Parts: sequence; C-alpha cells; structure tokens
Amino acid sequence: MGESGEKLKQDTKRFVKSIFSRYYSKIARKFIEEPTRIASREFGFNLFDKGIVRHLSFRTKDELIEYLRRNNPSDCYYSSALYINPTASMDAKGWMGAELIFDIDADHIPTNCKVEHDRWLCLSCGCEGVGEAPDKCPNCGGDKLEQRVWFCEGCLIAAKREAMKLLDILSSDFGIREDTVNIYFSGHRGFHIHVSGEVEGLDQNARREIADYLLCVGLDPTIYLDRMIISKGVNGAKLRMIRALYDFISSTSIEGFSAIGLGRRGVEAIVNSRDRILEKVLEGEFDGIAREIGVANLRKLIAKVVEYLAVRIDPVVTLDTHRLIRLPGSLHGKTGFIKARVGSSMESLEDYDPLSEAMPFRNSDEQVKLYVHLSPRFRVGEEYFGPFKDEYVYLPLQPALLLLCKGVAYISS
Amino acid sequence: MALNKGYKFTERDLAKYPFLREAAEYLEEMGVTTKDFDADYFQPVIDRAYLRVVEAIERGIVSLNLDDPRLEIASFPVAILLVKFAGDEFLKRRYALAESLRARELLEGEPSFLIATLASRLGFRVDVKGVYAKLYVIDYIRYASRFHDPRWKLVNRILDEGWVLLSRRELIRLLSEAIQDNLLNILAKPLLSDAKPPRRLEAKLVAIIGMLSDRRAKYGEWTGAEVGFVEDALPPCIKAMYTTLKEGKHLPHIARFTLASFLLNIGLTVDDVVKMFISIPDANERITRYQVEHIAGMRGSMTKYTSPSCSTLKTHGLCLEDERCRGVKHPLIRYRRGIRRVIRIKEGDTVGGERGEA
Repeated sequence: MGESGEKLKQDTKRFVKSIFSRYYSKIARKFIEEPTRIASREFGFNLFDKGIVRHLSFRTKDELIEYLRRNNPSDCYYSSALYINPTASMDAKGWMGAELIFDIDADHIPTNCKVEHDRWLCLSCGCEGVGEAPDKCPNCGGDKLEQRVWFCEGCLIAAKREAMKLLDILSSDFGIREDTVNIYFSGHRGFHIHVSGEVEGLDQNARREIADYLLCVGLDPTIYLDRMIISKGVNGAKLRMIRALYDFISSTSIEGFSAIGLGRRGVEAIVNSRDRILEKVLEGEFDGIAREIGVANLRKLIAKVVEYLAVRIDPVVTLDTHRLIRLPGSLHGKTGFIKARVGSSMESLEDYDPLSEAMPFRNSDEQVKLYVHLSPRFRVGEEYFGPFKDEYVYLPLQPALLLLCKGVAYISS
Repeated sequence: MALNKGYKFTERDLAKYPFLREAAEYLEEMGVTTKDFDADYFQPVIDRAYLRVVEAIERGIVSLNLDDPRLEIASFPVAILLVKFAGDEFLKRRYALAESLRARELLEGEPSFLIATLASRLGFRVDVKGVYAKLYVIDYIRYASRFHDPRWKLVNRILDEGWVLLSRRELIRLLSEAIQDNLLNILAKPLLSDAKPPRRLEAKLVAIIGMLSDRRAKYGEWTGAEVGFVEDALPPCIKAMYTTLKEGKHLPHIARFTLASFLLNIGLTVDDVVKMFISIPDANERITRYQVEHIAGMRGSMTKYTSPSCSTLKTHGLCLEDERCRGVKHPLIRYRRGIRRVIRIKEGDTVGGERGEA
C-alpha cells in the first residue's frame, strides 16, 4: 500500500479515536459502572498513542470519568482485586481480596461457525485461509501468521448457553445468591460473570477448586459408585450427570459406543438392554449400571459425557487474583461495543441481545464511507450488513466502527 | 447448630483444646500472670511447656496429659512463648503442626456437638449429623484445596446449594488445618522489641535451640539446590514444551511461563533461557529478555517465580502425567528424581528391571 496505505491507517485511527472520544465525553456516564470500593482498585488503560498505562487509582466515579474524557483510551481495565495501595508496585499493593470472575468466551467453546468466519493471514506472503491458523503458511512456509477472529450470532448464542449453564451451577450447587452476581457482555465474543461477597477472600488454590469443578478437571467417576454418598440424595451435579448419560446412551449408535472405547461386551449389553439401563440411569443407580455394563465401561461413558457437562470458562481468568478486567460501560477497542451490564439473573441473560443493547451508536443516522477488505455478514440491532469483499460501502456509524476496529476496513474520505 | 451455643467447655475440654479463648479466660480467672514465672510452684508448668515443644521437635505430635488439667491448660501459652522466643521459623511450623495433630486425635473421640461447637468457633459453618457433616463450600475449599488426594477435590464431592457433604473424620481433618493456621497466626505475632525471656525459661530456650541445630546438622536443610539442565530427566510436561519450543512452534503463554520459570529454577541463567526462547516464531529479543528477567525476579516485583505445580498444569490442560509422576506434586520434584535416575543409569546400576533411557 505504501505511503497512501499509511495515510489510510492514520485516517482510520483518527476517525476511531474521534468516535471513542465522543463516547467518553457525552455518552459514557450512563453506562460506566464504577467498581465497588473504587478507591481500593487499580486501573489500567490502553491509550491509542501511548500504549498501556496502569497502577492508577481514582477516588470517585467523577474522577474516573474525567480521566476517560481527557485521555480517551481504546480499552479500560480495573483490578478485580482490592488493594491497600492500588498505585504501588505489585508486591507493595497489599491485597485485600478480589471478585471471583468467570470469563466465557467463544474462543474456548468449539463452534462450527468459526471455520466460516475466523481467518488467518500470512504476514510474509499475504496468503489467507479460514478457521484456525496452521503452524506454517501452506503457500510460502512462513511461520508469521496472524489470527483474525470474528464473531457471529452462533458464537454469541454458544457463549450465552455456556453462561446460563454456569449461572445454574453457581446457584444450585454453590448456593451463590443472585444479589452477589453481575453478568456483563464482554464487548466481543462472550460474557463476564463477576461474583462478589465472601468469595472475594478466596486464594488461588481455592479458586482452582471452583474452576476444576466447573471444567470437571480431576473428576473421579467412581464417586458415583459410592453408595453412601449417593444415597444422600440427588443433587445438582448428579442430576446433570444423569441427564447427560441418559442423552448419550439413548442417542448413541453401536459405532458411537465403540468409538469411545467400549468393549464388544459392553456395547452388546447396552444395545440389548438399553431400556433397562436407561431406567437405572434415571434412578441414579450407578452401581446397577456398573453391574450391567461393567465398571470400566461406565467410567468410559462418564468420561465422555463430562465433555458436555463441563462449563467452558477460561480458568486463567478465574484463578488470577490480581487480574485487570475490562471496565463495565467502557468500549471494547476491537469492536466499539460496550462491555454492558446484562443483569444478575438467568432470565435477564436469556432475553439479552448484545447486538442491540451494547451498541452505543446504534441509533445514529450518520453514514460513513469505508473501503472494506473482507467482512462476513453480520447484524447490528435489527439490520444485517455484508458480506463485503474489497469494496466501497456506506454504513451507519455502529457497523462502520465495528469494521474499522476489527481492522478489516479503512475510512474513505 | 443453635443448640451448641449454650455449651460451656469443661476444664477437661480446655485441657484438650487449650487454644480456645475460654482457656485464656480460665487462666485469667485463676489469677495466673507473668509474675508467676519466677515462683517455684510454677516450675511444673514450665517443665510441661518445655516438654510440649520437645515432643513437637522430636515426635511431631504433642502428647496429652490430663492428670492435672490446670497444668495442661497453663503450659500451652508458656510453650507458645518458648517457641516465639526461640525465633525459629521451622520450629513455629513444626509446633503448630504438632499441636494441631494432638487436637485432631482428641477430636476423633468427641461427640458431635463438641465437634460442631469447636468448628463454629473456628469459623466453620457446619452441620454435624452422626458420621456425616455438611460444611459450607467456602469453608471447605479454603482448607481442602491444600490436599492433593483426588477425593478432596471439590469436583469429587456432593455439593448442593453451597453445602459440601463429608464424613465426620474428614471434617476433623479440615478442623486440624484451621487449628494449625490459628496457631501459626498466634506465633507470627512479634514479641515486644524489648521483651526478654523470663529467667526460668532461659535454660529451656538454650536446650531448644541446641536441639534444633543438632537436627539441622543431621538432616541438612533443603535449599532447592541448582542441579542444572539434563534433558533426559525432564518431566513429560516440561519435555513437551521444550520440544515444541525447539521445533520453533507456537507455545501458549502459560506454557512459556512454565518452561521459563522451570528452567530458571533448575539453575539456567537468563541468557540461556532467552537464547532458547528466541527461536519462537513471534519472539522479540527485547520483550523476551524483559519477560525472562521478570520471571527470574530481576524486574517488577523482584520475586523469583517458582514454576507452576502439577495441579496448576492440570487445570490448564498441560499435564502429561506418566507412571513415574505418581506421588509427585511438582515438576521440579519429578525432575530431581529424574536426575538421580539418570545418574544411576549412567553409572551402570540397573534399576529394578527398568530399562535405561539415557
């Protein structure tokens, strides 16, 4: 692209900055949620020209908003942790606790749509492909490949389903009360669930137990054979296990059972007396199932259905007690969407449409002329846009901002 | 739980669990003060306190002597004082552990209401019913997350509306952890800067410090000595990361951190590690050096990072456990074992039918 390419980049950046600035000076106040005990939090920002600044602190929401207005960051973060000295260096901050955070992102959920909309680009030869980037460019053999992720309704629906699963378990297994839960759209491909209250005092080891419970890491299937434990009733986890086993056993073919490593006798036992086994599953009689198909086979079945039971949180985020997490109400630098509050309940999440509600410029009738390199079809509010490929288009502000933030389009003056 | 509120600890209870607040109140009511240290009648208390500490050092558990409950109660704060004056971190941990083991053995024989009362005193929200108990999940993971047996993992527990089902025995195990923590907190509180040991404690202190240094001479202290890089001794998880790195393939951030901190821990220099990492496709020497120096404790918080434990690696899906990982909780431990094995094999010593791989 040469010199004019550089100018296009600069113009694009200037335009995105001006829109972010408009957000932070005029609109942000009604969306920004200051964290509780704001003065004990560390803040960090990604500034358009100066890179990352952190170890900042604000005494009030007004101070914070004033900073945003003056500095116009591309991304804003606050510490999930509370510190005695939030501006000190890490070892001198004085940790007082941290919200428990769950990050559910389409990145961590296998979805079929990623093959359709995620792309990679070889920085050496310009060769492109779909899905996840290979180790080496098939064209030139270069290993400098850039992954460009997109999101779609499929991704967001998968993330939402995962977040619903999480909320259900937090409530039914952990007994976490709704009034300590805040659900946010992350501004990109997923949801953040923040839990406050007593959990804030938990150390990393204890948080790991929560993460492992959700991800089913270290699950020992034989616990379901312990009569003493099981006779104490059907709780949330066991109920989910029963449902998953029922679904799998009732819907899987002979080949499917063989594929997960069940021996011939085990497969025959299931196929010949499927109804009787399903009945035992429904009654939660795991020792009965073990008698029918053998303990080893039951273990294999449980190991398989765990894939459906696991809630696909990103454990790195949940374990990190010093994490900087995106500030609610701020814009995501890669989309121009808001990290927006959804609510506290499963119902609020069920009805939530991020593509309508996290769009600060959705109702702007401003039209922007862009050169779009490549974009799949996408929705903002009720309207669909694209797909575009190497073309000039006029778009309303919000979808234009998305393409510019994503780096797939240039502003055209 | 409400029933337990009215329970008043007996003298015998306090002798068994002298760390309870009531035990201190009891001594106060008896009029025991620091002035008593110099009186002859106090000598048996000092002797018993000394024995508590000696038992902790030698046997790792403090005995129970209920012949004179008052002696048992009064000797506990004196023992604490001895440990504090000795000013030795190892002894603090050893003593806290030994007292908590004593309490644990005693609790095994107690009725449910007493266990429940003691538990709620330690901040546990618990309901004890016969041989089972229901413990609030936050209290459960706070202590159970320290254990490595899979049966303690929350994922292997019945968890319902915030309550974890566990056996009475398991509850007692967790209580002894909490007791140990409590004692460690007490022992961590510094003495007044001008505090001097009472005359009668001085001889005992000299004896205790002598015992500790004898012990050190005998067993030596584990220093985490640097053993250097032996590729054949690498644990499978680290080996896989190392191979990926050597092939110039992409390594996720957590794997990079694990590998870098592991290599630094076994004694490689920052330069060695930077050289290794520079082969990664997206490596940038300046950034790589900065990050490695950070992990090595030369930047930022100045803390040298220990490489992640097996359980952390499991959580991140990086664990590649094999049969020789049994009983190992940390890749560095597995590596040290591997080193010894490699040395044995090199020396031609055949190991129990195993074939050498060196």
